[in-house]
Amino acid sequence: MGEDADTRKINHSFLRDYVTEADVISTAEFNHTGDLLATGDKGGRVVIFQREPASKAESCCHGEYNVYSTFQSHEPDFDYLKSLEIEEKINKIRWIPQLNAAHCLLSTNDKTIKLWKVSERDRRPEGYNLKDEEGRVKDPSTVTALQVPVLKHTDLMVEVSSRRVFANGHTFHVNSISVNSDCETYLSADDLRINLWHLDITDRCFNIVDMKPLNMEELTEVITAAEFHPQHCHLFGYSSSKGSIRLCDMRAAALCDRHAKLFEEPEDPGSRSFFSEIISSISDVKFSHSGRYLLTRDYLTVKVWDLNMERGPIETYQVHDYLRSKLCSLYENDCIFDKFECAWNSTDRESGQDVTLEAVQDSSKPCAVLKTRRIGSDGRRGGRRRRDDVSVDSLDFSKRILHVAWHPAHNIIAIAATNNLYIFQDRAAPNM
Amino acid sequence: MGQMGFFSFQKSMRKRKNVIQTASMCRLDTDTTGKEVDQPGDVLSSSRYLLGRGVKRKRSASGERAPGLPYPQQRQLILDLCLHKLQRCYAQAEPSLRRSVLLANTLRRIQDEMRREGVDPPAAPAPSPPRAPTPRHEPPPSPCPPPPGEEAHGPGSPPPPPPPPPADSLFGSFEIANSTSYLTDLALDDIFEDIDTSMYDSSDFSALTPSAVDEGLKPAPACAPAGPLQFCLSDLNELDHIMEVLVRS
Repeated sequence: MGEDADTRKINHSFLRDYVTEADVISTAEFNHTGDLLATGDKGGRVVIFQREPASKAESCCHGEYNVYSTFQSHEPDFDYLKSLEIEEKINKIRWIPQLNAAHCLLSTNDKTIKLWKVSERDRRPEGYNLKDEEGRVKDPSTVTALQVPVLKHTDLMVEVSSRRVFANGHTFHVNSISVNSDCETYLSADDLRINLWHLDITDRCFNIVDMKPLNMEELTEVITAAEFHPQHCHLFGYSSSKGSIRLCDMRAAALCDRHAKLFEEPEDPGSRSFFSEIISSISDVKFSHSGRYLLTRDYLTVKVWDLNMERGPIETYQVHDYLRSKLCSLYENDCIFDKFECAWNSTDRESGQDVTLEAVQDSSKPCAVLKTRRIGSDGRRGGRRRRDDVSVDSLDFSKRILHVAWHPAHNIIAIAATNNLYIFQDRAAPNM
Repeated sequence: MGQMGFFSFQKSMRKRKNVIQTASMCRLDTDTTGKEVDQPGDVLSSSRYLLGRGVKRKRSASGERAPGLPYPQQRQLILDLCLHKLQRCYAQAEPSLRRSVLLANTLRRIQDEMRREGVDPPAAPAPSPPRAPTPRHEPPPSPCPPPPGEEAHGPGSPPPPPPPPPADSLFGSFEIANSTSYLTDLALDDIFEDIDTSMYDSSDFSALTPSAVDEGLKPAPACAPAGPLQFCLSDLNELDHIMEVLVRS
């Protein structure tokens, strides 16, 4: 992206404006080409947006995203033994690499993962002999001549069908799913276990990580996120609530409780506080597109790790360090338990311009103008301030952006803040 | 700007709106981290935290200048909050295991620290009910006169045996799946034998739930029963209702 913040234009389009609880967006994910963007919400619905082809007049800008399809993925469930409702909120969506004309995605709530097939239909057969146009069966005696049904073009219809339901694999809340590079298997992770599934088999799965202690009272660490390596189908990584990331090799053992690599930064004794452990809990982990690096997000920082170096991250970005003085208030109102996401841009770090964007929503304006503050990746641009930076005191902690997705090829990011979805395009440097 | 920047940021925040900690934005700046523990002039000690929510105070410099809480009392406040949050966990429709584990670890660390210092961690919030439920609803007693009951656990009086962290035994109820072990723990046969409601006295629950929990989570009069107690209560009430319907018909 261009370095100069002033030339960077922001194009934001508001795709949803509802204020009901069920519309709160809980996850967002681009597909592998970036033409489709799927969002899941608390009401169990998935909305897929498709990018319209860019008009020739604006060659520097990509097309807008419009609603392509909407469907109900998960329904609320009830656990009768525990008298607990199982939320229908979609925790994660992951697209499966496209093999044919149809698009497939996995969506999961706390307990069940589902495979959905999204296909287009723009033709239908017409001219049946035994059925009339409305589909009613004709009386055979009224048929005087035979005709061959032909396929006629119709308006484009997007059909979504449930192809697989992967149920009963988890006893804890599912927090991540990740499709393997072999396009045949995927993993699903809950608080204590990670399972390996085959996309075609729903009645069984392999448990590959089990962190549950024999005595639950000894539990001190949970799994927070997991992902397959983008190239090596035998490698996956998972992050924990203690701030460590483990890389596991499935060739070593069937149960990967022993990690191949452990990425952990020793705690700085000078920075210990009551909340050290809580803010060190990693909320998201992502492999870079190249597969060489890992990006992790904890409460206050984003860290880049080199897979070859376990003793510490190679880069650390203080995302909102001004919150450090507010940790107690954030702890009191539970905001300190928020899970933020992180994303790589299409070229990872090769361009040397890995930029961290922070969007602070100005709650006073009804049309939610987002002020962005750019934080440079190298020291030269560090400390750069814009005139319209907001002060920490005026931040409304209830407005926070928890979900982000980055287009795989272009500098387009989708940001979900409560009910609203914002898509930002970098007009200055749309293609990286 | 380093450490100086962090502290002056706090004090000057009200005067200059544009001051942001920018120097530490893209470097790991250990100088500015975590000093809130040592510096009394941080948000922990600010009157904002001590007052109940919604209470307005004057926007003056007196807030920042107020003498901060000594470290032990800061720690005590966090400990109370911790316990309160853990108790509240189960009142929520969707308990989060990650949150509970983080809270339990924080709690354990504070308690270990207190034990190492020779101060036994107080037996949960029970001894000081007005303060325990939440600092939000009721303004806790001012820290200057020692809160009732808390200081009694200090060096002066013989401290009660510290309870095991009450959170530990609460993790068992997190599993979603229908596991039959839950049924055997509950000893449902006993319940079905006698549907008389007198059976559901609180004193009898110790037989059904881990006893370690009771000590730490004895509900204050104003509080709803917490943790697995509440869990069993709702389940058993349902069963009771079902049984009553069956018996009547």
